[in-house]
Amino acid sequence: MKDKELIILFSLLAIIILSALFAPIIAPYNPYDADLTNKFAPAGIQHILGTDHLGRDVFSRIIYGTRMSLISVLATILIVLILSLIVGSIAGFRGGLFDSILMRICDVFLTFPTFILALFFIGVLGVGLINVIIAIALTHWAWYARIVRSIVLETKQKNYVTAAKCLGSSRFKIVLKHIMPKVLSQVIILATLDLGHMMLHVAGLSFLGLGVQAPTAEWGVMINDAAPYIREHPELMLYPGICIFITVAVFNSIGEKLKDKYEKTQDFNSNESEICVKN
Amino acid sequence: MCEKLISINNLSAGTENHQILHNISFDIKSGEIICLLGQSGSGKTMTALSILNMLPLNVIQTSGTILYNHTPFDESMRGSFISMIMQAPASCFDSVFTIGAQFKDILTSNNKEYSENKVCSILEKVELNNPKDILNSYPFQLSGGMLQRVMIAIALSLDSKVIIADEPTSDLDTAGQKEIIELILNLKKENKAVLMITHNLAVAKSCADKIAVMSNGRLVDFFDTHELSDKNRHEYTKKLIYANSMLCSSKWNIDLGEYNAEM
Repeated sequence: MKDKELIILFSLLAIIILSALFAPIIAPYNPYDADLTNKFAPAGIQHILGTDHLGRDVFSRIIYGTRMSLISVLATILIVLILSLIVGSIAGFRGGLFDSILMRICDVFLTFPTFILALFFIGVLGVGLINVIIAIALTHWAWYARIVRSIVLETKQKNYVTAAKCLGSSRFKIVLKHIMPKVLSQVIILATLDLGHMMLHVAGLSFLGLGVQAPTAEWGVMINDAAPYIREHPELMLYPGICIFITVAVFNSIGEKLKDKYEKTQDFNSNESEICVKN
Repeated sequence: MCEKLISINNLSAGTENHQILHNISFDIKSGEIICLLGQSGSGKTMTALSILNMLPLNVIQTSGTILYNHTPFDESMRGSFISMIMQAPASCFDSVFTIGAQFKDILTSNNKEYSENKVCSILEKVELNNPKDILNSYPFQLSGGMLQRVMIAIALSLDSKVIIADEPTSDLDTAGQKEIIELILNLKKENKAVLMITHNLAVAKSCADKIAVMSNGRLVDFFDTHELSDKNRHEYTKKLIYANSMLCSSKWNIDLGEYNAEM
């Protein structure tokens, strides 16, 4: 691999994932151990990034926060993908009435701004991490379902799908073997582009006190905790903020890169098929 | 011997404002090769697709019935009773999977057992050397003619009673065409019915028992091959024969260039 940018991005991603995986080993302190005698300790040898208003080690909390962010975002994207793949492929493959009904439901979801719809769902479901994940998933699936449907519609016209059908392949098998690989390759790239966006959503809702609840080590919660002390200790808000920034930027840039690569191979493929047609 | 496998009765089909097929009726019997001739756009492929009940969404069968062994269509018939060798083989395979994987897929969908030895012997039967290499290669690594042969091999391995071949010789040179014709004649020996769609009168004449000629969505002529020179053939058939004899008689003297494929 020659792409230097991609190497840097992937090593950053590796650092993020590794710190989430090995949080208990990397973090020097328990992120929940409060020590009121040692609050707002300055950054130094004992506490790399100092301590917060309850005397908890900020560095340890940030490392543990990575876990929360990654888990919540991955859970969200998983729910979104499953929901949209099912709905999108049924709508695209069956067509007709199914298609119309499912797509109108999507339209309803798409008309609301995502954040407001998420707030509504949290209002209904109650606060908490799982509810935030459900709310964000519910506000994002419709967009994906539409994309899945359009790819399915495009792919099912392809000659090899007709050929498989002529030779007796079942519908389920055609969807699974011939259509899903096409859909997944594109949808996964879109999902990586969206990961950062969703992470901001989770952190934002946690900051508002609607998502992850107070003692948990999570970046949004940490920013919220540090907010009252912004005059004396602005760095306490800065650290988790920078973490969110870097993670979101890494996810977005990787998504962009993958998209570029994919589009290049697409061009290549379409050239190839043109040549085939000419022959 | 001559079991009526498919009988088409007064088949008409079309889009909302344009009729494509007009009252087509003929029977396909076992051990018989029927060639469907006609110019591009005359409805040959549409006829084949309606036999498979696979018409495009905007085309509707407006009248007529097709009976398969005296029963109406059932989706499980595709593959097991009737299979199709498609036009343009380059686009008929999914470029994501190897030929072997797709071969296996189609066999298992039809509840047939997949064994590499059996498949290899079938591939050898269609004159593909190194069948193992072919099973491991991807569609874009093979030429059009090779893919065409793989398609025929798949149709053979399904062992269905009726095989519809949509221009199986179009991607091949003359030597290849002859081999494919021989393969199709072998099918006849196995008492299968073949409906072959072609532009090529020479191909039709060399293998068909019956020739059906289509023009503008109508079945204008249907006759036994030996009656080809009969006086009361339809105008369009005569035109075809005339054009073909023109091309054939001069083939030793001049280089026909790109018309070679048309003959």
